Amino acid sequence: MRRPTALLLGAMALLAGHRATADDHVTLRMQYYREPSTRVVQPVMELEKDLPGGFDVNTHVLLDAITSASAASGPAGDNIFTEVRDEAGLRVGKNWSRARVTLAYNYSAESDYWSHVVAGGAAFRVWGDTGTLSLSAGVGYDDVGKRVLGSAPTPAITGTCIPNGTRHCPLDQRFAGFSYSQVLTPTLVVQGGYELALLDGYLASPYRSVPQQQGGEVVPDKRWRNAVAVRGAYYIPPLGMGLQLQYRYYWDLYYKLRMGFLPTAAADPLSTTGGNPWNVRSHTVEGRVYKTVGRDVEVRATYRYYSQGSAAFWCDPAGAQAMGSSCYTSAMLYTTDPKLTPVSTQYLEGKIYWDATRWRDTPFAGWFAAGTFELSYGYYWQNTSYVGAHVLQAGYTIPY
Amino acid sequence: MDFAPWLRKCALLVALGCATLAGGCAHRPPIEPWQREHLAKRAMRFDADPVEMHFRQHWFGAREGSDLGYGQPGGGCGCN
Repeated sequence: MRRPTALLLGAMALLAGHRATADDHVTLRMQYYREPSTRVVQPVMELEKDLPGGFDVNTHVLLDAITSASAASGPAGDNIFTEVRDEAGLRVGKNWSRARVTLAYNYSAESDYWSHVVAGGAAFRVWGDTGTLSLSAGVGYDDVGKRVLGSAPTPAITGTCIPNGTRHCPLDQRFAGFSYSQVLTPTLVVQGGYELALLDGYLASPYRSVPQQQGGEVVPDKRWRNAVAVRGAYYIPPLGMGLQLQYRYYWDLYYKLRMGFLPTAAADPLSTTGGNPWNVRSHTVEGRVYKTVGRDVEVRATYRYYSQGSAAFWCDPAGAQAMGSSCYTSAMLYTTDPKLTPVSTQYLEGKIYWDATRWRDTPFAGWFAAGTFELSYGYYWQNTSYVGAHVLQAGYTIPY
Repeated sequence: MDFAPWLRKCALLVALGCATLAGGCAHRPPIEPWQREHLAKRAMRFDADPVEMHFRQHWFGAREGSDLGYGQPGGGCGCN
């Protein structure tokens, strides 16, 4: 599950700080993702500590143990392999009465992908602390390599840089975003925001092949990703119930049309998209229901629906060699990446939070009484070749 | 793509946003400090589980063609 931008955005998520100020805690989590061809086991530890002078520090480390049955390991035939990704991050925050500034660094390494991300964020509370304006920006520097096993054929990828057993290709990223949230009533909060990311460099997979082209995929070297999102949260005190709803719209494009690598053939199907080889559009709707059950239990139900159109240069196997298809013989950009096809997914999850206060007077278990246990299970439906996935997460957070 | 017109539009939007915020601050906040007991609840925060969100972004990004827009800090705050 190699993710160039997710590393950056994940860092941003952790970067900005999830509370107005930090509170001292340690979180231990185990996350498990299982679909027919891939299994991911991810232990995580996060630690947050208040420091004098309004400073706080947050750090996390995680391991991704990814086991796949995939041709991506290099040999012509499928091969089961396990890969480990290490990630560590550090965030320092400084708080004032109405503002918070953060600076974060994130590092991720696996056998064929290395990523460094530096990001900064600021949040300002306005209008009697009922509004929060958040700004964030970051840069990422990735290196993409390639594992070469046995007699693995090297896909004939054209372009300025092709990873192989000894050569890495760079991928630079720039990210920025802003959001504004406003408390409208004692039980209603709304938020809206915009985020963008500019990716420049090697954006293909060195392992993916396009049978119709008898070679590796050829992907644009630049991508401008955009997303706007609105969300709201509403609480119903008599029922002890909270509702959250969010909508996200995403679009992307090639951002350097005049100077970048673009198809020149007049008959190329990409011309139908106005010269934008990406042209991915997606809608995401997610709803959550929180319900307090008794004194120390809260449950959460989540439903997420996602729908996406394909990238303009996706090579539709059904269209194969037909003139006008995205993978006809002389196309200059083509991919068979499943996530650039018309993707539709749904995710349904149940989660329980349990404050272990009942253990306060219990020998040994009393050590855990100040903390909160979390357990969730979800199922992820996909219309792509990945089919579906089970997602199990367990965690424990304890203040100190 | 020429960035100049796009940047001008962004600057205009930011200026409009700041003006709106400044105008809004001239009025009393919509709620008072003693009305904020529910805002610190998990259900009222969009960023209550950052480690979980980190994991979700990673997996959604690996299986879907889009990214971004998963939210920043904000939402309910019980602080005064």
